[in-house]
Amino acid sequence: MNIDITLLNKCISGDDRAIALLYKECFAVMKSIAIRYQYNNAEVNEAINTGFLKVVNGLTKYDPEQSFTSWLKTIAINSNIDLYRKKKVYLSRTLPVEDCAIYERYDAPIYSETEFNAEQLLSLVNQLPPVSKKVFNLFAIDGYSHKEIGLLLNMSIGTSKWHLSNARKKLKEELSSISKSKKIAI
Amino acid sequence: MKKFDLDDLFKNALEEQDFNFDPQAFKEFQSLSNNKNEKKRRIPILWLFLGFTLLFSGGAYFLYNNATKRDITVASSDTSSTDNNAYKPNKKVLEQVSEATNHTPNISKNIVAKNVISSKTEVTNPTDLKLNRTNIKTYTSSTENLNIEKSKALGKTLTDQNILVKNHINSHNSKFTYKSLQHTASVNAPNRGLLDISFLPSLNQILKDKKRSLSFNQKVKSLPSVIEKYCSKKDAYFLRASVGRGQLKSNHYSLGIGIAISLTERFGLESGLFYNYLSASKLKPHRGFAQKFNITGSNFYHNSIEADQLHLVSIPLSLKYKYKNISLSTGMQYSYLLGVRGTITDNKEGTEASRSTWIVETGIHRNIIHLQSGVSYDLCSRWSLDLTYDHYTRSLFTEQRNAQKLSSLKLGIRYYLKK
Repeated sequence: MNIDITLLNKCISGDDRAIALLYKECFAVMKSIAIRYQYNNAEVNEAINTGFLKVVNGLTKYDPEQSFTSWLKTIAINSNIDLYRKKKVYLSRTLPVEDCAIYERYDAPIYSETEFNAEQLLSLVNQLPPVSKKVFNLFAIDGYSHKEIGLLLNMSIGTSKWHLSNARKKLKEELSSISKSKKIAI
Repeated sequence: MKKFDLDDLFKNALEEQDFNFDPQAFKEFQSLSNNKNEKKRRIPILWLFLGFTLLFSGGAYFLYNNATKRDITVASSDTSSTDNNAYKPNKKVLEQVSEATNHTPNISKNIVAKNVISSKTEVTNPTDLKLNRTNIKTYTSSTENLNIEKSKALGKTLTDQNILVKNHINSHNSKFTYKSLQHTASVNAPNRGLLDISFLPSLNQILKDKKRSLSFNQKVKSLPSVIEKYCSKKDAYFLRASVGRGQLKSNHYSLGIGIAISLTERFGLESGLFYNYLSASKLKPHRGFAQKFNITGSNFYHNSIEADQLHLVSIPLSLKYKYKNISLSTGMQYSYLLGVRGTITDNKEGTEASRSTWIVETGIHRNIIHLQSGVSYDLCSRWSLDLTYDHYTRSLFTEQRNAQKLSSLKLGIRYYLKK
């Protein structure tokens, strides 16, 4: 995504056309994030729009030396988490870190690239419990550490680890069942 | 064929998907943006109101405390009176006053006039002025000599620089203390002695003073953005307005901005800056006050001056414990008295009439500390309801006979600017 600095300056000055152009540019990135965190189309649009509003309002704080895409992604993820907090579907479970150690030693299964498509994988992620889904998205896809996740979702590191392993366990089961059904079909 | 572990499989498939632009989503964004802008337009009104409140408080403070060189005229305000018995001090009195003020430029003065006669009687021996030197407050006299020669009677004299002071001296043994404005002017009339000292400070003088003038040239950033930039993300900022009732049927009003700092998940500290207005019509008459400004210059015969409205600025500091939607807080509050309004009762013609006016603050504690405890209930994410109890640890007035504490119970509402 190439964003011209003049476009950003126009957006800061309140140029509606520039804002519309920036929206088009950012739409794919923001939707690809929102679709992983939210459950339906209305929620996805809400997350995109609130996130983009924050982007437009915060353009004055944007440092041009920083990558615009990573800045945009950070805002998009934070606004998704904020929406999640607002809706109060917070089902946090607290476990001591020691109890979670076992979940960290998971066997990384090997999957082939063509075995599953994005739509299938997304539906699997959406089947996860809300908190586990958030933790998995943040850790596995967006690259957040457990400490950062703990701060974002207001939970301990141990709880974050538990949710991650829970998500992995469920996804692994689902993937293996899909694989088996495919083989049977063949 | 590439092989992936579980995390990489999801990351590669879901991290950056390609989506086409959705015009419907953009329309929703536009409507959301318009709603936000409308909300933003409402907020400056709140800031303006707060700004005016602070400006008013600051202005009052300046008017009370920061005049330096002024014209002072000591005069009988009853100049229009045809009463032949009106008090007219002779030259000797004025010379003594002049001498006192010129020779001691940097100390406080109490000028005690003995045997000063009521305006209804003839002046017989208005002498025996004496100077009491105290270090209570510093008085800076003008270096100009008081032109006594030109002033034949009290009523035209004591030219300092910018202040006009008018006096009523209406009774025997009136004792008056005068300081220049920094300082206050006060009257103490034990035997219903009434002295009305009025200051008309030059507003231009204050505004011209570069050190004190306010500059509005700088671009003012919106407060929320400043808060976001400079303050911790964990802190909450709120506006609070409260109304209450206290002892002696006093009414209490409070408005200000506060900060809530979270120390742990449940405990936190709260502080802020609040403007308090306290009105109590049942306070005991407190002689010893004087009218501070006599804008109208009307001819009131002042038989009593009572303090009944206090303007304060307060800084609370309290420890807060939060459990679910309920917060309990306890702490203390420091208040500084900005000004006092009082009621002057007129019964010249035997009929009662009164008017409200600014009076000097002698006899009232300027620095007040009281204990505060309260409970707060969060109505929603932004609004909460407050119930606070203020307990005054000491009397408002310095005199024992006016030992009045105005502990109060206040109900308020707070709006979180950032939570």
